[in-house]
Amino acid sequence: MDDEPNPVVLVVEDEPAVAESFELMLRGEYDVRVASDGEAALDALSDEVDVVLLDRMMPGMSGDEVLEELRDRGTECRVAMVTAVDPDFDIIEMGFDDYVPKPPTKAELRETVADLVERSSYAENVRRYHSLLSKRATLQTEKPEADLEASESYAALQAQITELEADLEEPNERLLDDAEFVGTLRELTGDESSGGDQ
Amino acid sequence: MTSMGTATRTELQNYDVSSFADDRIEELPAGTNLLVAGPSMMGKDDIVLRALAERDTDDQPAVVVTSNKNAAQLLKKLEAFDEPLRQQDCYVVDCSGTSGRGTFQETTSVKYVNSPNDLTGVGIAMVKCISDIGEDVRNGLGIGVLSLSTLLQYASENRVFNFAHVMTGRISTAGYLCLWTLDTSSHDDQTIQTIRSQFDYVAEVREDETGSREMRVLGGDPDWRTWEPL
Repeated sequence: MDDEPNPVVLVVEDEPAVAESFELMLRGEYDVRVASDGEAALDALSDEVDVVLLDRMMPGMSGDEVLEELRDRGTECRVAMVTAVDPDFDIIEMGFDDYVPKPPTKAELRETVADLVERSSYAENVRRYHSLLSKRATLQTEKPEADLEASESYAALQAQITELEADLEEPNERLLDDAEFVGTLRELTGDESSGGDQ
Repeated sequence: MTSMGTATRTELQNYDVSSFADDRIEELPAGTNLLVAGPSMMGKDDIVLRALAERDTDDQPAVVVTSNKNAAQLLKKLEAFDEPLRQQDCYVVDCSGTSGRGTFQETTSVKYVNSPNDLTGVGIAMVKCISDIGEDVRNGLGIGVLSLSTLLQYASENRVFNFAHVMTGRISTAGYLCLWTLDTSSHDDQTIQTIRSQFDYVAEVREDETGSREMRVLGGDPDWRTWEPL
């Protein structure tokens, strides 16, 4: 892990003092970038950004509009809403991945960001697991068993699957949380729809 | 912050499934995901619904996700069993897309999702059901998903696999029991292999030479592996 770059967090916040406090809270473990409004946030967005902390109430583009634009662009970053209003489940239905109360404590902020980064890595593992299982299934349907048993690359594939399974089969407490569960589903089932209501 | 919603898990250790597989299996541990797989016209949905309806308990709620028939058809079917699931015990997520929103009012016990393609919507509806059930989830929650094949007709295999992975993850961590169905005549072998590797147990159903149905269950006790008439 040491040689991997720190995850990138984009803080979208119009009050410089608040943005700076977020930066201080996250410093060391994250590469923090700041955008002072919606337009600047969209300009600052790139594939490098892992997590966006989006203030809901900003002059110009609102947080909701920025989120919509982000989702339209098909970006893979996780987006948490920063809000002083006590949020409810509607926020998750709207397409946010989580929320941060304003003002957050250092622990709250770091926990939310860490959860969102971890969610992306879980999703990455599930995608990899699916691709390995499909590969194995193709081999199993195309080659006789004796050939497979003699094949080194098949044995290597099996080993990769077993290793990943051990990781993925750990009880995943995070999925007990409704917001986390729906956010993970949204990331992995990749549909645009934000829910059953229209 | 992840304190939204109630993270309810069950306090049950084992689920009574004695009506499933003709008394061969008495109980399944909390957190089990079981796939009922077989060709079409084998009554797989009925096997799942009966198992949920005839659990030896009064106070365990159930949620059924239905994509191949609408909520009204499903509830009618449930009434026909010996031990009907009382409506207040049974919650339905109707993602058949045929119920026509607007004509049906969302009620406490029935949630509508626009299309079987909206897998996130199914998850949201499921979470709403669990939240409406509230404290009773502690007594144990039985879930049926009918069927993975319909989902596979509307959404890519990739997305359905991921959906099943996140759902089974929640179910096993929370200690629910979930029975899923898959129509093996609708998909290629590779898809079936890939999907079924996610389940703790696979109950295979088939027809014998005389046209009677038989079942075996893989993943558990070796005694369950032999084909027996249903």
